[in-house]
Amino acid sequence: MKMTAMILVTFLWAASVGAQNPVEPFIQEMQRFERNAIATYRAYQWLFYEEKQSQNELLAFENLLGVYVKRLREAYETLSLIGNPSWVDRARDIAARAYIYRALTFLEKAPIDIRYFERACYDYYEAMQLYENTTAVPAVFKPLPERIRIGTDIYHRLIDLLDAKGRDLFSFGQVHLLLRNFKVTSDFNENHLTLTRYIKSGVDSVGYTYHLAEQKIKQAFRKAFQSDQPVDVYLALPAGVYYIRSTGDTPSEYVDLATIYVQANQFISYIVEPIADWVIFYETPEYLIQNQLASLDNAGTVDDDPAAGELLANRIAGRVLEQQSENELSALGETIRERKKRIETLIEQQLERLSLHELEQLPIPRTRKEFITKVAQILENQKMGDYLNSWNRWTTAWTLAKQTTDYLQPGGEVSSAMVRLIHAVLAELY
Amino acid sequence: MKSPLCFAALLFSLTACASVSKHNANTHPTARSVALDRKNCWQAGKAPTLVSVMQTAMQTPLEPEWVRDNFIQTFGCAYEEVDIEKNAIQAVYRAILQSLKNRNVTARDELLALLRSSPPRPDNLVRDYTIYVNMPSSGSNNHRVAAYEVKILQLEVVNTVESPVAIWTRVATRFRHREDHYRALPVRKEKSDFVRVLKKAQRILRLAERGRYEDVLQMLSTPNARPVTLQNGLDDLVFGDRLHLIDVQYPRRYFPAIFLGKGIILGKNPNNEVLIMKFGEERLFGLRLDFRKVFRSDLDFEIFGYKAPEAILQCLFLKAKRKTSRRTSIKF
Repeated sequence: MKMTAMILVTFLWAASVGAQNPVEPFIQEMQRFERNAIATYRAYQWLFYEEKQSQNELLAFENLLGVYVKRLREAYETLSLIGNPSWVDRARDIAARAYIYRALTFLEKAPIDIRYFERACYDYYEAMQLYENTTAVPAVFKPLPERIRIGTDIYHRLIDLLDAKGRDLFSFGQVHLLLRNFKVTSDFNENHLTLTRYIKSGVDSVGYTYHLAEQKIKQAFRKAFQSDQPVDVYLALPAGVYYIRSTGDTPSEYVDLATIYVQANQFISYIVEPIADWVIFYETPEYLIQNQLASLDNAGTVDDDPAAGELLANRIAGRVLEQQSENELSALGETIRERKKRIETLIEQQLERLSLHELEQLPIPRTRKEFITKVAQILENQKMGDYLNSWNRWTTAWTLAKQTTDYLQPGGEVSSAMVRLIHAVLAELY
Repeated sequence: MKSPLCFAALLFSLTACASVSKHNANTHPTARSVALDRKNCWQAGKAPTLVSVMQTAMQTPLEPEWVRDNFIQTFGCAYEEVDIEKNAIQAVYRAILQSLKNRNVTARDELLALLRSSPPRPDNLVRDYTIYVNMPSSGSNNHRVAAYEVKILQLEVVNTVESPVAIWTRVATRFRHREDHYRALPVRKEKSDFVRVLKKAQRILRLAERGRYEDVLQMLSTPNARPVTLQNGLDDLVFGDRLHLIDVQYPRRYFPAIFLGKGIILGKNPNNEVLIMKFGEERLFGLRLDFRKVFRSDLDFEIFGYKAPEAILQCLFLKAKRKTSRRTSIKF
């Protein structure tokens, strides 16, 4: 019996080692590529500020970095097909970091060629999108495998580096278009599509471009007309109002097909469908469903009974909207108080789950109570819409954590524990 | 809360600008939208509505020889698709479905698959089919199988207000074997339940066009409204589904909204103004759509797979947009 158990243990050990072996070199290769990518990024920086540099040399470095990014992405996709979560997580982190290095490289050049802001933004979104539909913490918020020295500063997280050098990325918003059911019978020509920004005073002073977006829209429409399948396209657009237009023979002849409102550091998703001989762009609420459900649960707003709901709706929608009673308003005030109380309870619960080491990283001023009250206040004061449209909850958590740290510990570093704490509270709240 | 309202006002005025430029530029092919020029969404030249076409068509009596052979006559129609073949299949499907309903039997075959199986040009649909149906047998729960003959007597394409490729059809059906005919339950005389559904939908859309929000709500409010979960996202929404628009500022307030199709809803804003808007535009009024509270009061729209005609939806939306633009241009 003992012998059998030993054989079994040996077999399991051998199987696990055997299973790891084929992938480990693959991961090591990825790590090597990542080191090369960092080296290229640093060399690019060095070259960029060198007086004798030429555009061609810079382009060569950009292309080289592009090769690393492509290879790492492919490697990650291959590993994700194998499906072992630990390998996939490691590979995803490496691929995401490579995207960020390239985004940072583009950001170096962006001040002299503003088209690079847009390119950097696509890479940043790509890196964050790798974590879509996962519970994993994005690589930008995790410690780097090796610290990076840039100028006189040493960075151990990419988010700090992005915060120092990549704030322009947060001026963009991400727009998702899902084109479906395209069987348009009118002579719709995707080459006539243009993306135009609304300019108030005649001069566009934003300082960012959106050329790639227009190309992507055209390609997506072309693909939608060629196949029956829905087509997804993700755009990075500087905050503002945009019109998707179909132009005629001269630029002055145009038809506005859709108006897109982009807010900085936000995500918005539209479904694009044909409607008769027109195209309709409407916002898809699917991405918001989970958020809304939770927030509405918290607010305790809607009656489950449709008949009662009808009565209430009639009462509100109809004649007596202005005459809402004092009692109802005071009840609403109570809800807000209850909500704040609930946020405080959630923060308290999350704090209980943190280790001593993590607690030490939090910017707790004097008392824990004071800290909880302040964080709850900051969370409560945020506009609901900001959360609902935030394209990534981690970025929202980072912004709020930074806000809290700046208030409680001015100049202090935003700790990962703080970001995780806010993220956990947001996940419970929305 | 002031800043979101200002932002909403800005967006609103921008939407107004967008619509204006649209009307100035009707020269491009894409701009030749039929719906744009319609003052009344239900009038497009001399084209009739599908309901009126059906009302005339349904006067056609069944030929005496078919009556003698125990056939019954049912009608079907469709206008939802831009594809003529798909409309034809849907119309025939609805007519056969009506026949089965009248006989109180259910199909054993996958009817739609059967209709799609042959080359689906409308002409090819005009042929005889034999399908197998379950007949409820008296005294026990067991179903008996019976052969069912389907003859497509007429399949016509008409240019209607709703679609230039609307289709209507007239079918005759009977049990192939005489003994099944005599054993079957008494037959209903309904020619097309779908036309009733069409009429109701048309009334709703006409009321929506006139901004009679309360009347639409009343038409669709029944005590037995069924809650709907959107497992497949927006694809699960059906014409006439009731949604809730929640006031962001006062979450206890909410306004019912009616889903019309293609992301378009009929609702009301906190200023008590009736709106026809698309998903996302509710934010301009400080509202949010609650997809947890979706109720379906009329199952017929779901059963018959009814979808509002795109030309009408487009017209309603663009008309409402013009009204909103005018209102906002006065307001701001």
